[in-house]
Amino acid sequence: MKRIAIVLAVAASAVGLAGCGGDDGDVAETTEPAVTTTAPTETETTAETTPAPAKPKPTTVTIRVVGGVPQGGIARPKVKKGDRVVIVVRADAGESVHVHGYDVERTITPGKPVRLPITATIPGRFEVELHHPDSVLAVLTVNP
Amino acid sequence: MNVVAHGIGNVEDLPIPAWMFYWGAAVVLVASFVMLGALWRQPLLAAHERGRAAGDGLSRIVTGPLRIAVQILSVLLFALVWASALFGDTDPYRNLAPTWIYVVFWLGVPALSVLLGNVWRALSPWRALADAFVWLRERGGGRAQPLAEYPEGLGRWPGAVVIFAFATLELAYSDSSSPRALAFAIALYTYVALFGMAAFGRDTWDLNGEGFAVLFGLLARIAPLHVVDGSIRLRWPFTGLAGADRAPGTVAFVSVMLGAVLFDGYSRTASWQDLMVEIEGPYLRDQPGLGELLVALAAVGGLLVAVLLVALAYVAACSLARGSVNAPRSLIPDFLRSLLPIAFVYLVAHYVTTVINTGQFVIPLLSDPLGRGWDLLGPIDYLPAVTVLSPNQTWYVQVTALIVGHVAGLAVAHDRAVTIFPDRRNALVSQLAFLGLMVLYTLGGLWVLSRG
Repeated sequence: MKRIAIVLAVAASAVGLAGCGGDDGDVAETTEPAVTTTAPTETETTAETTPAPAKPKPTTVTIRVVGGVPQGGIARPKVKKGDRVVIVVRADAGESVHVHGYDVERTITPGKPVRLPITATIPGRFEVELHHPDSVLAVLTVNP
Repeated sequence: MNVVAHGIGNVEDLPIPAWMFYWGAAVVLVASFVMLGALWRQPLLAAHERGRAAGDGLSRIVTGPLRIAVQILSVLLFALVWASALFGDTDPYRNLAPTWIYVVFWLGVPALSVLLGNVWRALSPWRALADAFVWLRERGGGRAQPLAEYPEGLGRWPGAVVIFAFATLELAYSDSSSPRALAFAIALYTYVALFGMAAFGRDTWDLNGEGFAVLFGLLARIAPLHVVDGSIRLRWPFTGLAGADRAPGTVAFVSVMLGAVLFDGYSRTASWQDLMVEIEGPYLRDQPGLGELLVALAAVGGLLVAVLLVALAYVAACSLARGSVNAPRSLIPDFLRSLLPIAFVYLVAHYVTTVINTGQFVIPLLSDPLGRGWDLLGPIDYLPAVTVLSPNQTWYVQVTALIVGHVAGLAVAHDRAVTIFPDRRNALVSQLAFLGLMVLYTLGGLWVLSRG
């Protein structure tokens, strides 16, 4: 069941990525069950078992934020250098969300999901932070 | 460390992998026991502490015109950093002050001190201001005298308080890289430093109360260069660590040095971050100020616990050693300097990538210190390289630094033991407790670095 949800999430996010700028409301609905830190690693396995496409599907990390607090605690996705990652944040409040190191920042519209696509080129640990209210939503680990 | 942990282009180190932690630990243990038997039987360091003169001409230039030139430059830079903090862009990444204070000053000067000796004597803007004041006063025919006698029992306690306060600002205060907060801190500390020097004399305050001067001065004892009566002398590194340190408050001071780095490392682990989310979470939306305050208080508590643990371990090891050889007096002053190499390698292991990565931002920031679009150094299109060290290389630097510091600390402690215990058996027995202590410090440092 979980795996199906994840595959759906990945597929949905890929579609979402292709249609960037469109209304992504339905994407978040699909991905909501996968609001766990295990999602990215599981997704990785999924990506490995499928015959390698030219552009592997990105790892999706979905974070729901209520009152500035990430539901289920700080997410700790781990990816490999070179992977593509999409961080989807759906917050009920806040001004912006920011991935340190990669310096990707997006404005938040409360209630709507915001997407931060990253190609993990720099190994290390990077905080994903919500601004106003300020809190740490996730720590992205990029292994070499 | 806010500006650093949150800096643009900044990379936080990956945790040391488990296999490396175990290898590091094994090397530390084996090296320790091998060293116990292999080390020298006669005191070695004290005889080489003075070293040999590096040449009169060089000494005259360095301690004379060069020092004065550096002091003038240092005061100008200080004014620039303060002006940036006070009037510059409030975005920490577009303002020179945060990067200058937390990286160049707080991490760069220790490295310079270990390499070149007590450079803070020339680099300290406060000392330069005091020197200028005395010079002017004496030129005008007056005399500059301290207002009061320094209470000797106070020792380095004021210095320890200063460094603890700085660590609190850096690691506990929620907005530690805010330029305006830093402007206030600079103003406050400038007042304290100048008041201390005026009240008790420049040298006395630099040795006891000017926390940064105390810290850099202690680390400079590792250096192969030092100044005696105005003449520069060359010596073997670490020989300056011979002897006891009897100034009151030195245990507290050294414990703050070690404890602050340990806590900084621990505060980046998942367990600490999760705890902070739990503490702050309920207040985030409606009372963010209260949430921030609670997190800051928790961090001050964590900092205090780390400092106390370091101090307690040291005092316990000293008591154990004293008991094991029935020493007639406390051994606490005797082995303090053996902790200084460990304090330095803690800095190296924790901040090497910070210095290399974030340090590069100083170049564009110096060209536009206030974030107003200036090009003081010409138009700089400088993009810092953030992958100078690969994660693998970083791990090797970290583990190697900790092992080297551990071995150096053991050797210094051993040298002290054979100095104060003429009986070889006593010297060795007393060292068992310190061996345990240093294994604890080194593995503690490794453990913090290995936590995800």
